[in-house]
Amino acid sequence: MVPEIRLDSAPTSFPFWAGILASIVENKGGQVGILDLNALRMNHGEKLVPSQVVSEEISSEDWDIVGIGGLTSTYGRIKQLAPIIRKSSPNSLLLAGGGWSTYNPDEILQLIPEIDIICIGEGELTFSELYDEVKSGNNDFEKVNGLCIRDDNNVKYTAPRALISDLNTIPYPAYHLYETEIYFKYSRHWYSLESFNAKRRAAVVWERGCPRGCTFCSHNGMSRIDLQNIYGSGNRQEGEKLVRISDKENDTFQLPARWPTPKYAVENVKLLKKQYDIDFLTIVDENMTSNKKWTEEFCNLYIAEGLNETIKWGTLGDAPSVATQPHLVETMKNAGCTYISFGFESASDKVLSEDIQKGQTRSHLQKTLDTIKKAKMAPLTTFMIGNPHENIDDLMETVDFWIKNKAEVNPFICTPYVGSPIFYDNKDFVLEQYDLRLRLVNEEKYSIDEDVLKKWKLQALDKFMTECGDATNYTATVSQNFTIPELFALKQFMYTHDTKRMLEWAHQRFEQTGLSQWKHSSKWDSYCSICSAKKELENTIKLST
Amino acid sequence: MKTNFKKNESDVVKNQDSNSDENQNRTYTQEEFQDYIVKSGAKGSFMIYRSDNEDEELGIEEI
Repeated sequence: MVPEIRLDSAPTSFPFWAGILASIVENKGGQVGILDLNALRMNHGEKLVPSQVVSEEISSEDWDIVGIGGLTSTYGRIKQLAPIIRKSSPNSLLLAGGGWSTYNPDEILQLIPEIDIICIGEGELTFSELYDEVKSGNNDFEKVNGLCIRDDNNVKYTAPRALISDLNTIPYPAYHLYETEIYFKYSRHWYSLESFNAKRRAAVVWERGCPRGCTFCSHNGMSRIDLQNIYGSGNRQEGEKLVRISDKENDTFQLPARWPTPKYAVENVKLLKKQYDIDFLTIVDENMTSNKKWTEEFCNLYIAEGLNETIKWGTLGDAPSVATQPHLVETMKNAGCTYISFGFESASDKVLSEDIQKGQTRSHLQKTLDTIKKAKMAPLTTFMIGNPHENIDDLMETVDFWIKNKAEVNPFICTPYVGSPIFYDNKDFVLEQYDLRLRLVNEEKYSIDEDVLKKWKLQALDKFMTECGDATNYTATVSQNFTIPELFALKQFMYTHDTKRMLEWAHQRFEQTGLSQWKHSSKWDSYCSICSAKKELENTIKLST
Repeated sequence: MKTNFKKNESDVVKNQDSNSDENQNRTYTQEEFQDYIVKSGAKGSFMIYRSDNEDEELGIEEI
């Protein structure tokens, strides 16, 4: 079952995980179905599919396994759906997986009592073995690696599952079980004219993980960094000890990022062309440009197969790779690429270095923009504010970058999604924003029984995860300098390039609080009406004396 | 739901709004597309460049 997500926009990407797992079942001769609520909501007024409909669909068959998965932001909806599934299919094994449950499966099992088992991280091999256990009737799940299993009132972890070393072994999704016509109809997006005008868009994802180590990001448990965090509960060094054991046992070296061969990718596109006559491809890989060799081989093969004229495409990349190898953009464009989306995050070198840790600088951002312009492609970039050490000077660096580049940007608010390094680094700070009792305990003003504290923390986590949606809205902040109301005011001033009000407010806040994050450097005096007025008056007085 | 063991319902979208359907399917020219982008604003945090003179976009001369 695929839960609804991002109700404020139409569904754009096929649920890859469901299609791949369905393929695995089909290859074993089994019976399988996909209930894609995220697509079907378009038949229900673009709102959540009614519980009655969900219940009728599930109870229409006697399922052995019901699987549910999604991104972190689907937690709230899955918590609503789990009791409906359990009631509609009381004898089935309820299996969960995906980013929403992969990082803290023990806590998820406590919070959603209907779920039996959680698959941690990459699911293909784990699910395949679990399916065999169910099919054979043995149900010996403890021998299946990569699981977190409910065991009466406790949970049990099985041994870690090594990442799949050869992604060419992954079957293509069972496309015939997708609501393809709904996706074709609603997946129009404005990243490029070609993507906007296309009539039959398909989405694919081949890359797993990302070579960059951005502190706000995670990869659904599918990179070495993720596994370190999962098995070390945020302590990567501790987690690495277990990851090394699974490496040794499986004769692998699990990487931060992996790709299937370009041939696998191009064959996937040919399949979509043949079966669905697609005319645009959204490649949702996290960071294609970071792998120059793969990208060049893919582009050459794409052209050799004559796909570059008939199926235009778009994807994501990163600024450091494009800034240092700008010719890559021309190669991609020649192969039919019409847009590349970049996570610029901030134009402050301090924030990029201390907080984001992507390995990019402001200079990379500028070079990337210049390269994209030269290739006559649309520059698509995202930014965010509310980074842990960001102050008024850093925000001015970013808005100055936008003003100089004549850019309008509505930035995201930095959100500590469960599984990201900033979540682990700020977990107590995040939870106390949902339970002020925790703040008082953290300040050592009160001493509370450990079990009670654990319960409060779990309840706070539940509230946080339920509230987590896209980072366009507020949840918890990790900013050490600004509150959420302050961030929202700053966001609005930045969006409208209103540096006058932004810096006037900074002056006011500094006078009120004396806090250094509000004191702007003289670099921004020309943007600041108070400093300009002061300077003018001083000059006038000098002249008159 | 679509399954591999029984006949699936046609996945034609229900409750179609004929006006929005027309807009969804209309092919835009480059000029119409640019106009649409400018009017729609920086949705979802994507960066939008605005200048009457396209060559001025990105402001590289100022860097």
